[in-house]
Amino acid sequence: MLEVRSLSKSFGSTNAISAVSFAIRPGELVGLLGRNGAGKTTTLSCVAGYLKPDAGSVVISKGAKRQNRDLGFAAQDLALYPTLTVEQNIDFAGRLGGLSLRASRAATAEVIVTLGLEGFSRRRTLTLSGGQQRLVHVACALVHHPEVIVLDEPTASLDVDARAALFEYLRRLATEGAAILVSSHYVTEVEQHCKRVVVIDQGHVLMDAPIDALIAEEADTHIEISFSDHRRVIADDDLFAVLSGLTDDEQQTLQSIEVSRPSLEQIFLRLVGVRRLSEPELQEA
Amino acid sequence: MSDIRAIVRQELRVLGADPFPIFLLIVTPLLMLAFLSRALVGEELQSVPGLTILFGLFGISVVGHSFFRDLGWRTWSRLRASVSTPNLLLGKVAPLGLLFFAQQAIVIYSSKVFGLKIEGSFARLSMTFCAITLFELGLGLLTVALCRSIQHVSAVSTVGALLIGGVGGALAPITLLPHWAQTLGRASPAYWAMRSLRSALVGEPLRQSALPMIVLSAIGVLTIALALLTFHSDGEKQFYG
Repeated sequence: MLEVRSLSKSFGSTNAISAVSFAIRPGELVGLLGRNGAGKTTTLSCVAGYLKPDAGSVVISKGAKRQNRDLGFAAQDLALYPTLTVEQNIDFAGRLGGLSLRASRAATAEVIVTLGLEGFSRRRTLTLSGGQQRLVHVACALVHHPEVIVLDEPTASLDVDARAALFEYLRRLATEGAAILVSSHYVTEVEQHCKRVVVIDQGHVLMDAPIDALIAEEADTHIEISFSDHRRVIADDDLFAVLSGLTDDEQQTLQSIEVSRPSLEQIFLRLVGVRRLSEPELQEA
Repeated sequence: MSDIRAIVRQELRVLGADPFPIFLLIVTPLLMLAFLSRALVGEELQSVPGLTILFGLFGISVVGHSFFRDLGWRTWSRLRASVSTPNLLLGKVAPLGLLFFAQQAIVIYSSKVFGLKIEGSFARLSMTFCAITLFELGLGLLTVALCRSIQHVSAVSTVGALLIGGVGGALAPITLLPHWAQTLGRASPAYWAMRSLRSALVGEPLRQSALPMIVLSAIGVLTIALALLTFHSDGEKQFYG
């Protein structure tokens, strides 16, 4: 498991993060959301040991002395040896993760197949596309089967297939007991694949909650009834009353009834103080 | 130990993927000897050790590059977070030590073609190569510890090689330098490297060249110690700028 306890980090006079705390338990796939400059990368870099926090601590696994094999981290910036092949890059990451020579070779072969890198595994990474390099970069974090996985924007520049395949693999790793934290700007992706979300803004944790509960709590569900010549938007509580009160003409021209559930993106934008107009508001305007 | 082995293996892979700079360090002195061979007949005990040592000093930039390229490639953070600083430094310099040793051995033994007579045994010469390697690695590590970017490394290693080599008698016999330069030269590791190499080449007994080897080794140990004291793995360095 991963436990972040009151992490704080400043750069000069700028407080990048302040008293950030959260925990990721084994089996969880958690999304980390925040605007640009919110403190996501600073937080993750402190977790990975790339930055030394000014205060607070990070506990990985059972709190015993941290081993390389406990954590798999893929930073936001690609970190690859461009003159070496995909296999050589991933193999080295496996060795740094504590695997023996033989085990690293086997694990490298496994992750190459799992992430669909076979077609270019013998090519030097500088010859790959941005998306292919990103996959190799993420593979380096996963090769040694760490208990805790932290990925900073792992799907940036990946195509739709690759993003889906990566999250499918991460879900599998979570069911096998890994604690996984993924930072992303694709809110719908987080909503689709993660069970819980942590929202950071201006260096503070604004929200740490299961996604379903968050949406239910912040619910602003409305129902859109479409007729051939007009639409009506009503609150979900009023559906029965409205349907009961439809005129004969309206019943004849009724085309569809759609339940519009608020998205995580709308909730996120509201949380961080950026508000988009909802459908009813757009209609009124 | 497995960390060190993994880093050594990776460094050898990277060096092997682009061996051109190393190739230059070994081939260029031989090319220069080929150009100068007629002019330096009878002066092989100056020209061969001199060029070997000078180009070994240029190799300090290779030490610098082996660290700063990780900053440019953004692989430095992962190395630093995964491996202790002493293991990281050892893993990185071990292959370079082999490189410096090989550079000296290849240039010296290839120079038989240019009339160099080698009276000392390979074992005797190897001891000298090791002492010279130690001080070259030490200077290289100290350069990495003190420089902030790859431009600094390139400038320091080029100018440093010429100054240290020049005042130490690698460019021209030290006896031809002004008196004050000859005095200053005795502080240069190149001076002691020249003495040590010449002694090994003519097959002098070890006890007669003990002093140069001790001084070279001491310089190596001192510069490595200084480098370890001043090296901060999370210090403010950048690849370029």
